[in-house]
Amino acid sequence: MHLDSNAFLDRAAQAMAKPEQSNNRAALGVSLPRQRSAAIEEFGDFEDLRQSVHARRKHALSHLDQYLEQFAENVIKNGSQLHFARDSEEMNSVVLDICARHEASSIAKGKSMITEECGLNAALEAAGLHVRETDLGEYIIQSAHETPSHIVVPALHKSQAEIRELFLSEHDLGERDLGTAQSLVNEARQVLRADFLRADVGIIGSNALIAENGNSLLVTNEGNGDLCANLPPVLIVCTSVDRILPRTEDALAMLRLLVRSTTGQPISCYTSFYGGPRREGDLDGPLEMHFVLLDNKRSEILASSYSDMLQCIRCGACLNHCPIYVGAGGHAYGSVYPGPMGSVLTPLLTSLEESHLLPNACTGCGRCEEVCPAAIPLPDLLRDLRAEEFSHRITARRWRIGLTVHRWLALHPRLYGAVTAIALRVMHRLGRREGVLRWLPLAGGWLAERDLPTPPAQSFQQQLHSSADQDV
Amino acid sequence: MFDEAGREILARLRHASRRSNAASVREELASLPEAGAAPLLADSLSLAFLARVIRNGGSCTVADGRRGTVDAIGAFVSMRHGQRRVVCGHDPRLAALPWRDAGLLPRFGAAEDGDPVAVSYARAAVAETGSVLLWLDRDNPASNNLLVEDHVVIVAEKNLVGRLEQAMAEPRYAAAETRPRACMLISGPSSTADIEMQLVVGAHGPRCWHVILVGQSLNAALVDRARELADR
Repeated sequence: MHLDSNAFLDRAAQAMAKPEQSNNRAALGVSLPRQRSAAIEEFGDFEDLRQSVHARRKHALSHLDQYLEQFAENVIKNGSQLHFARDSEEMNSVVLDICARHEASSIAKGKSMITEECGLNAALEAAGLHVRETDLGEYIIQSAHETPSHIVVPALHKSQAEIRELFLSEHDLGERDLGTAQSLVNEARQVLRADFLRADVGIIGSNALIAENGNSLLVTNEGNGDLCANLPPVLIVCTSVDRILPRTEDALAMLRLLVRSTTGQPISCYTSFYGGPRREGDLDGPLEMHFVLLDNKRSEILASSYSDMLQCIRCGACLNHCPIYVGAGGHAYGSVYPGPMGSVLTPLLTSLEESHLLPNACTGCGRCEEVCPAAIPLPDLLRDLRAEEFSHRITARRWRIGLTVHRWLALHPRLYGAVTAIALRVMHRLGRREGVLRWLPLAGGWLAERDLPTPPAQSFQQQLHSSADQDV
Repeated sequence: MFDEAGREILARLRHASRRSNAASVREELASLPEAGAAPLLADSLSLAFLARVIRNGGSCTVADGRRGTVDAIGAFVSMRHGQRRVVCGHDPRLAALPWRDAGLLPRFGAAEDGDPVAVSYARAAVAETGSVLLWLDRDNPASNNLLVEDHVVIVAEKNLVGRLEQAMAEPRYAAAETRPRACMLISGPSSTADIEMQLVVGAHGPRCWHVILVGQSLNAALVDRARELADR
């Protein structure tokens, strides 16, 4: 997976210095939470639903080997073909192989985080294939040669004006205004229709795999994924092994959580189940259907104390509610997966050395956990990653020293009290006149953008004890 | 079934799994807590369904029989396109409609790029979400749901159910021999919010999604009530 997470702080600072780009994020950070809240209130017992789906997924993950076998049997019964990939390179190689066997030159792609993770597009293009992303947001960033900045709204960082400029330069369609979002969408519809019609292979992701019947669930509002799944003669579904659910009804329960958490809709415009190639008598549909199931460390995560992270259904709610994501933007994370879920998943899929800044990109506010439909204890997992960072000595030296000193002091309460009492008296004297402290030794960086209110001369404990003495 | 990579992945998953026997896995699954569905917008399934369709950005009308159905299709098609051509799948219920009585000229088959209107007959419809269920097969090719500008879907009132699970619980769906290769639950016209989160209709699929609910005792007042309910 392409990664640039150790540049997080620089990128975040750059992003925050560009208000025109942060406007969309700020709007998302208000509107999507509001829409989600309204949808949940209308639903009623959302917590009950959340717990029920969590239990089903936990059950499925606990017996993933058996459900994978059941899924595989049904895939074959449906007339589809099943492939496996241990890592990204293998995923790309399997897909390339299928395309080569069909002498494919043109691919129509639906949105798939797994293929982003594997860098599939680059691998296909390097082999000379033409790949067209058909989800509008993905199409926009593909045309702009950029990466997604949100897992659901990939072109969030682009303004309407920028998209207009992009279409005017990319599409040779003569003079036109393109002054409205509707006209931009109309043009994308017209341009991409040709890609759907000529594609040799359609590649889509999956929102869930159903063990009892070998089906794959696809959830979209645009219908582009369904066009990719039905028009080209070959269909490839790329997803990860942990997506398996036992029954259709489990997928439907999850669907109720997913769409409300993503956009606040009760259901997506298109909710489809794909199982196999054309049957006798069918007038359309793919002649061949393939599943490529990726591991890429999911089996390791399953066996670890981070297995709850596999419950993630990629709704994006944690991103929408995270003050760090809204402030810094998705590109700052330098990973396919940004925001709170990305800050846990990225180190697990790559390494802490390469991405240790991400678990630290957290205020501990806990909103992510509150809104997560999969009930993932994100703040706990982030904290556990920070603890691992510390124990593996990845944390910067001065922080390790500071944390070690603090821990030692905290284990010696009387000494802790004595040291902090001195510190308070000094800080009180330094800041008494202005009422705020703008600089302190060892805290210059932190106080560069913050004012610390001058503390009182005595700590709470000291005041409590002295007033208790007076009462006696 | 499992290639070399698959066997390796399966082995790793077995190592991480709880390794219970199949019977106890089935028992555990059966004991898991049920989940509720979204509340219906009204006690009447028809009213609840139509209100959701409207809220989802669809349009709707009702008909009391076959003649009313083709009249409704005719009115919609001529209003939207000023012509009377439609394409339909081979669903026998579509073939049985008195198209000529409404001056309509259906072509039976799969829609092609450029066809303005397709008419489908839903397998079932769901009041909880305002969705229509369409199996993708000879009776209703996928292209008819996706390639056209306007998609008209006929729903028989007797095929209306309360919640999603009921629509997917048909016995023919459970068996591999009778299950279609795919099915779609459609709950609105194609839409996107990818441009500064503005909701725009007609992304890649149909711009207009028109539902005709057919039942003996249905009348136009129901649609008015559904509109009021949808607006609340």
